[in-house]
Amino acid sequence: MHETTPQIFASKERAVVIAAAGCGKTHLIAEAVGCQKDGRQLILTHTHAGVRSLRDKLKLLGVSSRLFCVDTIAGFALKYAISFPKTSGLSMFMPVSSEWNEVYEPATRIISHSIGKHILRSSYSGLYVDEYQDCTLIQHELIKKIADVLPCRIVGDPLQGIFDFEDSPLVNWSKDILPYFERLPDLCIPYRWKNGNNALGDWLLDIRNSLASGKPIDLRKLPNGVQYFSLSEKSQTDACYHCPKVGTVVAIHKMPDQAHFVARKLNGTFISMEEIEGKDLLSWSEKFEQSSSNERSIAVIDFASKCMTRVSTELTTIKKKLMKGKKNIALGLSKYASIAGGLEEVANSNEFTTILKSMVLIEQVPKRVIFRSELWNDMKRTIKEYGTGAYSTLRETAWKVRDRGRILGRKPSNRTVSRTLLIKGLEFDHAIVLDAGQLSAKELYVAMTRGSKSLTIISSSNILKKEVPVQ
Amino acid sequence: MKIRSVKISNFRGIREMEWPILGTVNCLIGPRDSTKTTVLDAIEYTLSSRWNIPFDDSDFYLSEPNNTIEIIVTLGQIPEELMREEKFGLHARGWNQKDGINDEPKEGDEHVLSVRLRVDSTLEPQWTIVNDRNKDGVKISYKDRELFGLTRLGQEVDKHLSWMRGSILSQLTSNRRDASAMLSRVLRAARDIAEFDKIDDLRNIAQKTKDAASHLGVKPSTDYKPAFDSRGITGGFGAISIHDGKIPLRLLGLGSRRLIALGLQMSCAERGSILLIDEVENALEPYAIIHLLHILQQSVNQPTAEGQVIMTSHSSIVIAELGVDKLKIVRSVNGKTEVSAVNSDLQATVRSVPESLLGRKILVCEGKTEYGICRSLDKLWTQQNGKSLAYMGVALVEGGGVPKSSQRASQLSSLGYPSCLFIDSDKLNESKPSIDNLDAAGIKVIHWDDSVSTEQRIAMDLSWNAIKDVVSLLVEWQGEESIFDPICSKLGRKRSDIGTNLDDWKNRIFNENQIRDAIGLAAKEAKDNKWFKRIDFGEELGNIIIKDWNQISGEDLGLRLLELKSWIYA
Repeated sequence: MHETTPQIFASKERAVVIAAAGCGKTHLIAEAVGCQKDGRQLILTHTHAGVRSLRDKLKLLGVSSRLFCVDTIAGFALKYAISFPKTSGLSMFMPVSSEWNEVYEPATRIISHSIGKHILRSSYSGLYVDEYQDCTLIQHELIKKIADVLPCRIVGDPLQGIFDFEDSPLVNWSKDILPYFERLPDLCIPYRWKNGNNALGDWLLDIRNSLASGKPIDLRKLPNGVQYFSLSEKSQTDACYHCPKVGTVVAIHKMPDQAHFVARKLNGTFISMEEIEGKDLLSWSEKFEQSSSNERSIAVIDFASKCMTRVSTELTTIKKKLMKGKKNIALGLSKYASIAGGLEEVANSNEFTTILKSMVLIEQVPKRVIFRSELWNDMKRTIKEYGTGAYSTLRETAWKVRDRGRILGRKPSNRTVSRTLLIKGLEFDHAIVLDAGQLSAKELYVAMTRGSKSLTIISSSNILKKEVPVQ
Repeated sequence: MKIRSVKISNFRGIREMEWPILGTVNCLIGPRDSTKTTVLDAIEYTLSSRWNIPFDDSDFYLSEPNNTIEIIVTLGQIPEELMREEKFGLHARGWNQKDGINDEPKEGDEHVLSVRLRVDSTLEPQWTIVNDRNKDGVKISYKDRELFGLTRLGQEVDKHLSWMRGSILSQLTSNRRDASAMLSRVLRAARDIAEFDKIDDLRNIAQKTKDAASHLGVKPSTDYKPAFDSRGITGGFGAISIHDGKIPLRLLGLGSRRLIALGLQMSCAERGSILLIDEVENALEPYAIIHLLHILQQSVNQPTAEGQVIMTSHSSIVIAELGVDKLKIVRSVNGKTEVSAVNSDLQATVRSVPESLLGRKILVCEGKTEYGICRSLDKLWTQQNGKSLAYMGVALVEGGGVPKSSQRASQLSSLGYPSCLFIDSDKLNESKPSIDNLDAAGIKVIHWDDSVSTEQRIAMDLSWNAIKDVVSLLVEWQGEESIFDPICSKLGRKRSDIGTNLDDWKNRIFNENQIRDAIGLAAKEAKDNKWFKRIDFGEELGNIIIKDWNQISGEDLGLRLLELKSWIYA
């Protein structure tokens, strides 16, 4: 079956291409943009990781940067909404998580307005949208309005639409997308696995069909590079310990706490990935800010125990003294007197820099392993930046630190524990699904397609049966 | 491109100015030092692509650099390039005829950009695009400002006839590469053929130079000799200018040079540019001015690319030709510059007496008699105190009778010109607006006591000898019959009966007042401009009045004319 070519894609006024995982979706967009020498294309996707991956591909293919502009839908929407606040009705200037929903409608208002249309027409000759399965209905309305002004071509995979939340439902392909966009031939050649494990790629195509139609997946017959283990805490940690020494490895769980727990158990060999929003960073910043005196020192210890091993046990004495309201905690301590001193300073001073000092001291607890190093380091960065006086609260500073990180990107370490939501779109050499039973059909598909060389599946049963997903 | 509004603060003589609506063709008129040229300067500095404008303390209002200069020009019909997202599209504002500027565009508004030039005490100019959402503004580069396509024809014409930087020719030229290469070749060729070292005198002096230098320790690496300096061709592209055959255009007369430069400006206008012209009439004959204005208006009204013209003028021809809707009166009071439009009601008045708008104050004379009298009084008073009406900035204007003269006075006064109306008092009631309204509007109304015409007043107040002079003068011009028949008829007698000797009349037949009244009445009723109602007659009349000055100083005639004098010389 022949796939859609970049030239055909580029020539359409309104078109959609469905692409299975690893089948060259980014490549299609990049090449299509490269075909269109007149004017500039606007390319929108959902995450900064997505933006980076598109930019990398465009650079790789030698497409001149004056031919395109890549941005997130959210960033693009905010840009327009915030430029005309009274007209758009925007009330949220530094949105966090669900607050982003308050940005799309204002942006849609501007795009429907003559000024929005004027700016769009002067700036771009076409629009491409990647990862369309992640579009919420509200975002879809925005894209449709842009499509009224510019030719619009979208790509996505209904089977990877895992960002479905109650307050912001996702687009439905048959109801919302297909009536509006011409469907071109799917992309289904598994390029990602060509240099890794061809057999795995082909097997995954079959899995795709099964998952899409609700058929069970038999894990008793597996191709090369795929293995199955029965679910237990030991099998999970074993699979991680015994993963290949060469190449990147991702271990995938369902819930954030589960992921953090595994990371802790693995004693730092796997780093836990923080979610982009940095909700924990924000809430801990707030906690530091709103606490005072001994309460604040206790918060520092609690924060440290969330991020590294050994602290919860080693610093119990100090914590107990603090909870009793004692002022002179360093007194009479045999171990960790300096840490106690640092925490005393935290209690006595208003300055956040004392927290930073204590954090550095706590790092000296012997044999401790920081498994949430991203969170830990971001907190240090936040406190340092707060000192420059650029922002009024610690939480605001934290937001900015995460925002920058979101845009600049971060290199996942060689061994990561994460969740499907965070690793969608990323590529690794080896993937370990820690509990296939907890994942929905779509989540399972995303998880299983992360590794290009090998896949390990841990589940309570060796026959996986998932409900037919909504598409 | 169209400028929609200009706002100036603290620039030279302008402490503040807001000029909200600009039409397609704008002619700024106003007395000297009304700051009209400063307005053009402000617009030029803000929109031109120059970046190295030298500012100094004197450019600040009252020469006080702590009064930061701010000029904001809001432009519509922006080139698409500048409306891009990454340029200034997101900073656009809205504009419509009714509301003026809406900071966030409403549906149906034109999308405009506000360009701000700001100079503070550091003297460094900063150009930004501003709006209420973003008061700091975002920088606009000189390359972007080039897209505004602004040209100014000011004092220096010659630069526009060459390809000097900033000239119109240079703006019209997109590719300079070939010209650049040619310039380099010219330089090299000049160097090659110059053999200054073959000229003995020069060579000898070069040798002397070498000796003098080495005496003080400077040793040449080769030898000193005279040669062509590459600086000889300075000004780069300025060295290329247009020639008619072998003659450079800069040798043409000023009028021709200006017309050529104006023609070039207009070809820029065809791309939607904004043209600034100082003294559009400069060096041009009346017919040339009229033709120019016609073509100018055509060029900015192209359907494909609408441009705009802002010019200054001191010419009544320009004022009459353009029509009031294009005139903008500029006035400066205590640093506040006002730019006002001229109501279309004034069209007829302005067409008839365009020079009235060019004075500082206006003296409206009811008819030709009054006008003529004023002109001779002007000569007298100038002799007396050295200052003429012109010196005092008084525009002397014919009113065109009643009620036109009251109307004119009222209209002209409404434009902000201090005005005076010099009228007969025989038809005061017919004055529209009424005398009371005129007074209320601050217009000085000078009229005779009693309900008499000027002719009657003169007849009543001049000394007897002066009356005789007047009648003799009239008889000289019009003949005895035309003059004495009406007078006799007023007296109820026939000329054949009483003769034409006034003294005789006074002594034997009538009393003086009867005679005077008759003369006055006859003069007033004379039809078809037969008696005084011509300006030169009025002037002669004025001369007679002047001769009689001492005799009339206590009379109404003298008193009113003195009142006139003090208004003029206030």
